[in-house]
Amino acid sequence: MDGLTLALPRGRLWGEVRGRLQAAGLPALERVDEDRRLLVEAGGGWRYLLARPADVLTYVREGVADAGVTGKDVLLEDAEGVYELVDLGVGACRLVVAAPRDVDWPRQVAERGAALCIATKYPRAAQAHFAARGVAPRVVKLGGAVELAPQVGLADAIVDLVASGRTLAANGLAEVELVAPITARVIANQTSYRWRAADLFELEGRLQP
Amino acid sequence: MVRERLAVPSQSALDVAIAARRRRRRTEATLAAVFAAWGYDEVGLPLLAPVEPEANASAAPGAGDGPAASVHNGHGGAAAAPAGPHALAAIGTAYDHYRIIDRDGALLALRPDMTGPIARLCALGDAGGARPRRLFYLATLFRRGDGGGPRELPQAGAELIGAAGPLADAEALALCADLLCSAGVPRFRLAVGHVGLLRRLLGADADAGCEALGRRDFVALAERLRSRPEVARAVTWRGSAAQVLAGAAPWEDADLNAALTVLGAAGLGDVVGVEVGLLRPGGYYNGMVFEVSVPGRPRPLGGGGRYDGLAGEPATGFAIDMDELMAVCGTAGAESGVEAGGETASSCPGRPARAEPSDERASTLIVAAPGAVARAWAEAAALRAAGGRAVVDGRPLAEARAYARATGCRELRLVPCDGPVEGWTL
Repeated sequence: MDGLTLALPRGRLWGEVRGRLQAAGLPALERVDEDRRLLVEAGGGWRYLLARPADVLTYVREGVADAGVTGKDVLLEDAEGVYELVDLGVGACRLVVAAPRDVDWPRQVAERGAALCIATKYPRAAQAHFAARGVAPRVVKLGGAVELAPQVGLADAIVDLVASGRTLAANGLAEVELVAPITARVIANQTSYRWRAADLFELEGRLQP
Repeated sequence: MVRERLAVPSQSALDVAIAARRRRRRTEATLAAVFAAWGYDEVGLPLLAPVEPEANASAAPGAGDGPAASVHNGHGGAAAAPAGPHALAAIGTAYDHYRIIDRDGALLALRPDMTGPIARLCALGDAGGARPRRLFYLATLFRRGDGGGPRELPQAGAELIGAAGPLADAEALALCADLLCSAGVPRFRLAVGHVGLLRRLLGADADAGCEALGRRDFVALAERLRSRPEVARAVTWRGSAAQVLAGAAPWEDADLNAALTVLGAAGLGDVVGVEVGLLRPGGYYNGMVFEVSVPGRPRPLGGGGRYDGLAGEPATGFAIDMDELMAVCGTAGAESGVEAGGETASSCPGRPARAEPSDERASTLIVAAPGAVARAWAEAAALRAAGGRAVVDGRPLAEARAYARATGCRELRLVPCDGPVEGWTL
């Protein structure tokens, strides 16, 4: 197959994702961590772009990458214009609603509803989650370290990723609702889906768990 | 050195804008000539139109603000709309659009869509008129963009109203391809799906399956069809028109085959790819749908499909994003036309350069006898290349003749399976 340009996620996801890509026979993945270069020419037409998971989506959507790997959390927030092809099954965690430990959350929702304030990196996903139950709380967007918000009175609860739950616990929060289970997903650009169909199909086949 | 620098004229931003506008006008003129050659009439609609209060009430969830609202490019609506006059008004308001309150308190909207208003025009202003109606527009739509700011969407689009069946579906695709070729798009593909076939294949999972496919989420689709892997294979199958006609697809649809046969005979076999899981934004497509894909452009250039029932009669159409088209055609395409051969194979079937369109407004109606569609299309293509206006019709001669008279055609031709073409002046 001819190599593709892939946007790959730096950070938390990278270790497990790299394992899957290696198992699929993609070349030169060891070069990715070698130096600080964000663009790796891996030979055979393969190119790797290293980016934050949210930016992987942008690179793929804009077509500078044929395909990429990012978290389902990124896609829940915004999946416009890309094809979601494969669930790699790695990078498993959960997108949850978390509230202060001592709070009666179901009662809070029932009594306060739209008066609630939710802080999150995922405003659209949070809004959609509550809207499905007919609740429309106020949603405040934060860029990170969202666990701070309830402690200082910015929000009643948060919608955030949780893996072990230790960060939540350390900040006095507990998981109260599951929004969605999250894993790493392979996405493809709309145009590449047609013009690199054979190569993407081959890649898909190699990456299916 | 200095001499060389002086020899290069500097271009200000305004110079660049003026050159772009000139190219744009030329392309619009080229497109208008192609539309005319296919027998399409231009329709203009107001930029500002009243928003009916009942329409707001019946507008689907997702209109206006909120995370469920989405901005769509090209032909198609944001959510399913029921049929009926209120629905026709609601179609326009199902988009994320801009509203203005005028001095008398009336609510007006900057048009976000042309398909709905045109369907309405035909239903309310042309009831009982001759069918089919062939209409085109070169118009700018206004939708709320990402980040909340306004998005002006200049489009070139067509609606073929009152014609059902594969011949009409094929006409929409072939017209779109002719527009792209004439504008100088060197390579493109038309990805063709079929909503009716898709829903039939999905069966009980039609709603959930289409919901996932609408988001282009094959993971959710596979999950949904976990217990029916053969259905998952069937709805994700992709192949060329030739493969479908050779029976290689895991399904069969007579209408789709008929349309693909006609397109193949017209030289578009290499350009058309079948992707039965393709869904265009909007819940009102019920038949063949398609999308224009151009290498090097991240998003489709346009698309459309069949939307029977929206205006109470069969209809199909499409829209092309003019900004995307100009980005593809750039400076070379619109002027030099299509190159044959070269580094990359052109998508456009070899054709003689089109003659200047005549001033003749009246069309020639070319009637295809059963089994003679490919021949009739070839006859029409030749006429268009010579600067004429040609429309192909598959109805019985008497019906076609009545239609020709009603629509002011000057000539009628009957194309049999073999033997000479008969012609009558009307």
